Amino acid sequence: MKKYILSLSIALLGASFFACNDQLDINRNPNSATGAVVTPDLMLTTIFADLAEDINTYNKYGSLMVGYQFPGDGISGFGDLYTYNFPSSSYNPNWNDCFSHLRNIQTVIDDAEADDKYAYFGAAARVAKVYTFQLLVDEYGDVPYTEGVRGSNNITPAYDKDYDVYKKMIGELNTAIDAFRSAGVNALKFTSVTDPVFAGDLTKWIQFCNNLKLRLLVRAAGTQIDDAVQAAYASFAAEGFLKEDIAINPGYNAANKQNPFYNDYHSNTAGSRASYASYYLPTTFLMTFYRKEVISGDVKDNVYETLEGKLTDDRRGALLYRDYPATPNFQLGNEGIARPYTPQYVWLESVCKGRNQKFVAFYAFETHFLLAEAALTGHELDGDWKNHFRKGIEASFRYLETNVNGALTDGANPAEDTETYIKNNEDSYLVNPDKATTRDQILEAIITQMYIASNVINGHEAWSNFRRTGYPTIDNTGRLPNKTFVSYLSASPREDLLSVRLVYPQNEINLNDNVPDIGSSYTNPIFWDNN
Amino acid sequence: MLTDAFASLKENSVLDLLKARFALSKTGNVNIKPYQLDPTFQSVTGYSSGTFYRKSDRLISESLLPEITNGWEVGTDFRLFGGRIDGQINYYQTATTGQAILATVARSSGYNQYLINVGKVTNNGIEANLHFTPIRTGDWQVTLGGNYTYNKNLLAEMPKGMERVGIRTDINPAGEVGFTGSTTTAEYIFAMVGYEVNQIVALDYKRVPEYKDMENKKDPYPKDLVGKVIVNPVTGYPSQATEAKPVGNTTPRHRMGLDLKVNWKNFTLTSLFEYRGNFYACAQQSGTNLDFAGASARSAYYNRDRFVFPNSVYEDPANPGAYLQNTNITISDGGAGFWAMAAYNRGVVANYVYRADYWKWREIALVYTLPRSVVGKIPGIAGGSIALQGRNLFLWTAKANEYTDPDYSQTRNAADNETGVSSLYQAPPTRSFGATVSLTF
Repeated sequence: MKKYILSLSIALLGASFFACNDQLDINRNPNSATGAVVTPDLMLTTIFADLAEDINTYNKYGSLMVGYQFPGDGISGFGDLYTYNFPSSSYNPNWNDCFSHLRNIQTVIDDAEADDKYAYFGAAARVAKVYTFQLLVDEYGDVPYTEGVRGSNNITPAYDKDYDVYKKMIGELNTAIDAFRSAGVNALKFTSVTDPVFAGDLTKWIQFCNNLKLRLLVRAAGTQIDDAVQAAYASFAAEGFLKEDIAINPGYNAANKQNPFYNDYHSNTAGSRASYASYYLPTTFLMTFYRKEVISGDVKDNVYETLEGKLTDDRRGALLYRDYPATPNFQLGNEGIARPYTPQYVWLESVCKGRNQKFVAFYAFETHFLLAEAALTGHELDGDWKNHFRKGIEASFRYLETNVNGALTDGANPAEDTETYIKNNEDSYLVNPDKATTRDQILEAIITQMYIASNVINGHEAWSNFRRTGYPTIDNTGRLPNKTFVSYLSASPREDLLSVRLVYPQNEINLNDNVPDIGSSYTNPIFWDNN
Repeated sequence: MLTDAFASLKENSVLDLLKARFALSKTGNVNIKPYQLDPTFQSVTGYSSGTFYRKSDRLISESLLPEITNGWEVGTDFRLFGGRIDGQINYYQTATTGQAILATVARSSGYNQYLINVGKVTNNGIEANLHFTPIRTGDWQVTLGGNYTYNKNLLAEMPKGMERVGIRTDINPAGEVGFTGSTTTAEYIFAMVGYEVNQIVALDYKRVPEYKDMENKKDPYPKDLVGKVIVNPVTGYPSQATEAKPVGNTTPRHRMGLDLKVNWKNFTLTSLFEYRGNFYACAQQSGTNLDFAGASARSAYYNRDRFVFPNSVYEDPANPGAYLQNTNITISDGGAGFWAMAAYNRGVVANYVYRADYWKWREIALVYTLPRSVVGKIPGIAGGSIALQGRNLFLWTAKANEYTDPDYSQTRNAADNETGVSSLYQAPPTRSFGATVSLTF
């Protein structure tokens, strides 16, 4: 008996020592999760939720640049926007947030390379990587694509040339397509929870890769990497293009986490009106695409004049704006007459659909307009340009006429609305494809329709297109509100009176010697900039 | 104790005591909190499809070492003329390796912070004090004196591949529960190899460099143009330099105190003045906000009219690369178009960095000790005193300091490394007066 007691007490003593050791381990974190337990399937949803935030950030900036919105009366600040002289403190989240989110993307790619169980997740992360880097390159030019996001292996990454990054992104998409196609049988499958974009539809993932590649190729065609671009046109995956709105939904809801666009353009989950819904307005220039006679200024305050417009599109105007056609509108930076007050919630349900609306990462209209432009430049990938031009306009109507649940609103008919729109503007080559005869006219029509369709929801792409093509056409003579979206107070020495890029954040310049010296926001345009 | 070791030294009326000291030291320290060695993941909740994760933005060095300080010091104590003069002087040198800091790193690394051993920091300096007692008769005793310290620290080495890291620790400490600091403020306090630790690194205007060809130090610019701000020949506006440069240390190199003590019967009067010199402070947040609103003194220097940017030059249109003194090109808009603009004024952080040197009348106190004749009559009371004191009475600062007492900074605690950076959200300095009655039972 004594022997048992002895060994029992020794055992207990031993056990208590082990317990103590465990308790006193100051290196194993009991409060937070560490790399040992967090696998790629627990991260992909966050990656795409963060991507939606970044697209939203760029859209807000791009929408200010191309005149979709400007701050109304009584709002101070925005000095850098008025002059387009962006110092290294302007729009820093455009850089910082993307790189912060790339950290998660790279973690998943690395995990997938180490363990092919996560091949699909690695491929989806590569798609997010390309998307994020394109946002960065199109605004900052040279970026650290190869050496960046390596953590302690390289805290001062070297920068790749912007055109090299484009080439590398094409390669990255090819790698992703291969993985979607031929991941091993052991690869963990997506579910509707772990894949917030396509709920596991691999064909759609491959088509999304094609869409992204098309966007890269169309933008980089005719530049110094044209050879690589022309070669890549032959490398599209056979799955074709995805001609629907490609949307992210990590589980947006009204109680906690809602759609970031709705959050910024309508109200937060607590119901407080967002600042954009409080004081942002459309520009008069933008209104010329909806009405032949634009009421510029503020009807309610009796400070307005009627100015000449370009097109007639009351259907989309009324879908978009409160009080249309008397929606207050004016010009960025013009303080000559009192800037109008905004009616609250100037944007209607066509874009602010609801708190749980999906976040569109790639609009169907953009796919069609890209296919139209590719066809125009000799790459008929999926029918001729006229077909896609019409489909693009129709897709724009369809998006604005779709409710939060993805169904068309009562009585809406996008195809009919498109016909009416073309008929109402049949003399204009910007709308009627039969009137556009020269190559320049066709290109102007495609890019202008992309500009109209992108209104307030895809501003960064419209801004890139403007820098690349110079469309929609602006006339800065006299800086009249209906002739240009350029700020009345622009200090740009350039002929178009605009900036060409953003400046790297000061912290980046301070902490990394490899940041290229780009002068200012007026110099060193992105490689595809033809202006 | 030299006066004890050599009896001959003591046999005069001048020297009472002379002591020589020499010491060597080695101290170890661990300044990392528990559970810091593994990178963490934060949970992301609120989406209806479940809980997901995001990686923390903090990198952790895999080879963290404990902090070791090696040092030596040499010094002497002396007392002369029967204690009328006494003093002390010390010289010290220390070198610290393995100090762990949370460094800010470039965002393009994918991360924001890096827990790492900073390398090697050296300190050397002098500590001295000297007191005279010119009057010591009956009821009167007057002692005058002062102390002086000089400290110069230097970041001698950094880990391979690093030359400059941000060291403010209250920015974006992802993963830290209950964090309340700023998540958007830029970094102004850096550690740089070859400089004092706690450097303010800030953006300045584009200025005329010393040479046209800086790399080979060829083609010098005329001396009277070097360092002047280059303005646009049409608009008169200056522009920002690309690279931020170290503009000053936030640790005072010189500290001096002057004290006075007067005893008369039961009264004691003490007073203390303090000087701190050769250091800088940054009021970026207050400065930019005041300039934006037009509430700062500097925004009214030119009556918000157009003005010629002081000490400026412009590029000679006829001779590119050469500069001409600017005496007549005025800034296009001397109001909000200049002072509120980030590109011309508010983004140039060097505008808000100022010499922080000061003299301060730190304290005066008058104490009356209750005499025994009074105290003795009250049963149960052994002693007592009545005192009046005032603190932070007057402050004399450098002309460039338009903001606040450089002692006040936004730091939550000294370990945040942001002494010298002030904000709008800190308590303002206050003068304080007090009276104390104390009784000993």
